[in-house]
Amino acid sequence: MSEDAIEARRLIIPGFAGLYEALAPLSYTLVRVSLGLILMPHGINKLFFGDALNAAKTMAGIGLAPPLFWAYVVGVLECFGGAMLVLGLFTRVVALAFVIEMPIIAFAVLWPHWWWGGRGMEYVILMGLCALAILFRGGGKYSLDARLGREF
Amino acid sequence: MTEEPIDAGKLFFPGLARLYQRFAPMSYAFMRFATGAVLFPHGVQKVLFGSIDHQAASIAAKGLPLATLLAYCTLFSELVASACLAVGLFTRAAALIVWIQMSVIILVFQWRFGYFWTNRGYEYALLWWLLCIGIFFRGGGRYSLDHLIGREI
Repeated sequence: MSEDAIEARRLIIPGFAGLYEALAPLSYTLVRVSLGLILMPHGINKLFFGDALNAAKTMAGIGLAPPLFWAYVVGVLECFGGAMLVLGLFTRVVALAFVIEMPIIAFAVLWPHWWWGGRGMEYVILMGLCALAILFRGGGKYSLDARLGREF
Repeated sequence: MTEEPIDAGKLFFPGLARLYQRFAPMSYAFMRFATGAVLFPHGVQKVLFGSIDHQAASIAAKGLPLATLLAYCTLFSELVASACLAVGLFTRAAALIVWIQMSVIILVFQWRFGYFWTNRGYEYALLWWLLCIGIFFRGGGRYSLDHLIGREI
């Protein structure tokens, strides 16, 4: 990131420049991998541990029909889409899917509650915003997209 | 990101290159802002509607020492460090503070509820914990007060 290079003379503790220089390029990858990993258990739960039935009730509640179909769509997205975020494969496509999913959950299901302790929307909003940041940027340097040399 | 320019030749839809070029440099600042901005209301709520004694009692109930001090630390993290993350001021220090808070929340408060947030589990705190590591790695970035000031931790 030459435009965002770590400049030792700007650092209050210049001795950390080498450390920061090594870590900074990994920052974006960590964020992308983290969001993917965080989402995967939700998909795994829906697809393999019967949580799709609960999710289907939620889908029915917001008028998505057939509910079980949409529950599985979301399950596949969270499980395999999450894995694709981790790998950085077709990153923007998957990020876009989450940018669509999260506001729907937040505003159609959890609204008008905000605090997470009261089943509110704040956590889902944060995930949606992170997905949006990933949509802006794509796979980044350490991703299968970069390895393939083609990306959306 | 001059190091990672958007190369239209690599895109399945080359026409999107200009759009990506415009937004990609803002990705990091956007994520950093979101991380702080979603935490900040917790601090505001504690100031307006919470009580330090109540907070300290719930901390003491977990067997942690110096509960009142820790209650103030929590408030500082959620009110001040979160705002610093959002605007990118003393970014790495703020990320470290929030990271420490999230570590305690995950291990001491939420671990026993399991992963899923709908059951009061730790996944939400874990996301913040991970984002703080990412932010610590990178610092304020291009669109931050740290960058404007020209000095950073």
